Amino acid sequence: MSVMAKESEDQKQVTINVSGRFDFSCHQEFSGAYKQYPRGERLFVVDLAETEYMDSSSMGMLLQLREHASHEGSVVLNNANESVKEILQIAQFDKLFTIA
Amino acid sequence: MTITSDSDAAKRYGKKQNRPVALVVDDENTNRTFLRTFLEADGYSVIEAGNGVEAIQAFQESPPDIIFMDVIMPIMDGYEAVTQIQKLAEAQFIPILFLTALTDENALAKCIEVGGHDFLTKPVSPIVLKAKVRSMERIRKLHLEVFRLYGQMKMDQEMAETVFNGVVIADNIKLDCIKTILKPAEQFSGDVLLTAHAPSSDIHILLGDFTGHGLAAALGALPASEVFRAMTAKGFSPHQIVAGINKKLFSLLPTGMFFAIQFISISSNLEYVNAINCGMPDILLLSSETGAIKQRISSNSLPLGISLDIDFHSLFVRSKISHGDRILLVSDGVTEARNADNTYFGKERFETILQNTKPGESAVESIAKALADFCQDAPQDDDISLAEIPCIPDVLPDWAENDADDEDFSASPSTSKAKPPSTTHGNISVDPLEFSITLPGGRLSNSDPIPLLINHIQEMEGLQKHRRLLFTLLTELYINALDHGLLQLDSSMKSSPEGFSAYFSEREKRLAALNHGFIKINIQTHNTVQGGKMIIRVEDSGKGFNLKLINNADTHNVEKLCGRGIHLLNSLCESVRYEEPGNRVEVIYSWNDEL
Repeated sequence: MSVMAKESEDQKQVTINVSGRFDFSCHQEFSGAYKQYPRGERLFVVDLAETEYMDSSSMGMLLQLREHASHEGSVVLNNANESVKEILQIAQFDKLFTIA
Repeated sequence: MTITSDSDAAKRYGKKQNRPVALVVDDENTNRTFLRTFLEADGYSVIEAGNGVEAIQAFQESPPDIIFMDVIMPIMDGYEAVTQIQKLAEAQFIPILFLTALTDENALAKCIEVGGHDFLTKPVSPIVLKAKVRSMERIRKLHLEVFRLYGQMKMDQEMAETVFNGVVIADNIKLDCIKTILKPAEQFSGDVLLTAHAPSSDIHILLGDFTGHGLAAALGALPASEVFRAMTAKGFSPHQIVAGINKKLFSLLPTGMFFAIQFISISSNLEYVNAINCGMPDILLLSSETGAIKQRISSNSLPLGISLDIDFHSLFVRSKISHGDRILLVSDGVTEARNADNTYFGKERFETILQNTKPGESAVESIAKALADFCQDAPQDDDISLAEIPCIPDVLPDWAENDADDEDFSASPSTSKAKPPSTTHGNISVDPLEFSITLPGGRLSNSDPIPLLINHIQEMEGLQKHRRLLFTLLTELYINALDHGLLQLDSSMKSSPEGFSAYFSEREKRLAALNHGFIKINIQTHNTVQGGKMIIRVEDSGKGFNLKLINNADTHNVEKLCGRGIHLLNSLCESVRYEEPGNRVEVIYSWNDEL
């Protein structure tokens, strides 16, 4: 598991990559990755291309990110593989996040 | 030479007065003296031993805080002594530093192998020795801290487990016919299975999965189970209960923690199941005949505790069931279990096993076996929970079967005919208590007045032991007035499975659009010498219906023509009287206290 955050040049968007298992062990790293940016200002894109697995704790972390981003549509979940997509679907997270 | 103040070493050990004790083991007097001088200057008090046997004796008399051990000694060498001391020390951590003239790598490696924590080769420089002693002290401190935290965690967990078992588990209905596997990943499960009987005799079952696992996850189970039980006992309907839990958890849980649930309610006539799935794997309905998956109820809602903006009522799915069908509730820990090769158990494997389970065999047992074979000794990541609920009378409360012919309630017509309750012949108390409520049609789509009425009656009159029957009575009367009076639904629609669901979807539709009419409920209670009686009048603004059907109620056509509602009312009440044109009914329910 590793978490990497990168800000776009215009400072409007932050992309967070999570590779490997996205679970409880990522908590510190993941929250560290977005908390360095001020609340309610950036669009956050979580790139799940290299995420092989997600559990409920990581979904909880996404909710925390959503709270940090704090306005509608400001968290996008990108490139999820089939099994991760299914997990997001079961939890109906498409109602809370933009899933691309 | 300046002697380091005594208190220094004591302080490092967290001791107030006594110096920490060092055990020095060496067969050479000069070496022991060198160490004694050094250690006493460093704030230790020193015990000496000349060989392994003496060291063990000294250890047994009083365990020291640190040990300095030579390797080659007469009688018993340092390796053997440390091996034995480690056995005696059990869980307590005592740093052991080997001091040896040996330089052979294997000999040095063996120092660690037998249980030493570090080694130094002689001759030893005081500066290096001091540094090593500090290092040992630091390790010891960490060790103690971990040990203390571990002990505290264990204690907290045990206490929490007692509370958890008392609140969450103990109040579940004990039902042998429901087969379950509940395998927490840690001492505490974030999964929770709750069961309770409603006053209507329906059974409510909830399998839920909190974010994460362990103690933090289990904490949320306390408020969730309280709401589940309290609202079920008061007769709230499933969607109100789920909304209640959601509201409670939304206000209590921190962002990032939520509760995925499967909730089913099996009707007391075993005709249908009402279910919702909020973020869990599919609820599976297994056929009694073939064991095949007859229906799956997939997640159609966010888990609980995330949003207040969910209309649970519209998300419930109602399915017709047959006697002996089984309902399988399952948490994601099953499909996400991993084996040593990092392969997931998976949905496919899970459903293949279900397909291969013959009717009559327990699905839960075959899955448990397959899981054990698959995972072997691989560590378990998540809580695993499975519950298999058969749709048979055994899941219903004992009272459900007995109530209809339970003479203690003196409610069955046969009893009242055999010895008419004196209520009908006077003895009625002077002051009957009366109240009525008028429910406007436009307010009925989202409310269920029965629990409130029952609570109201109970607060005024007690009548604890009549609660269930009154609940059944009032529900029956209210539903009749609503469905056939205000909504003009024809209950004969329900006789086929297709008609059954068509009936309920039509009902939903009409109820949502209802914006006129009323239902009026009037309740009068009288105390009598022997007990009491209650006169319940229900009037609706509907057109009424053909009363001849009711007159036929005594004939055998009753079930076919009028559904079971009227038959049920007749069996529970002293009298049931419909008034023309059929939109008004009066029932009399009476009881004898001394029976």
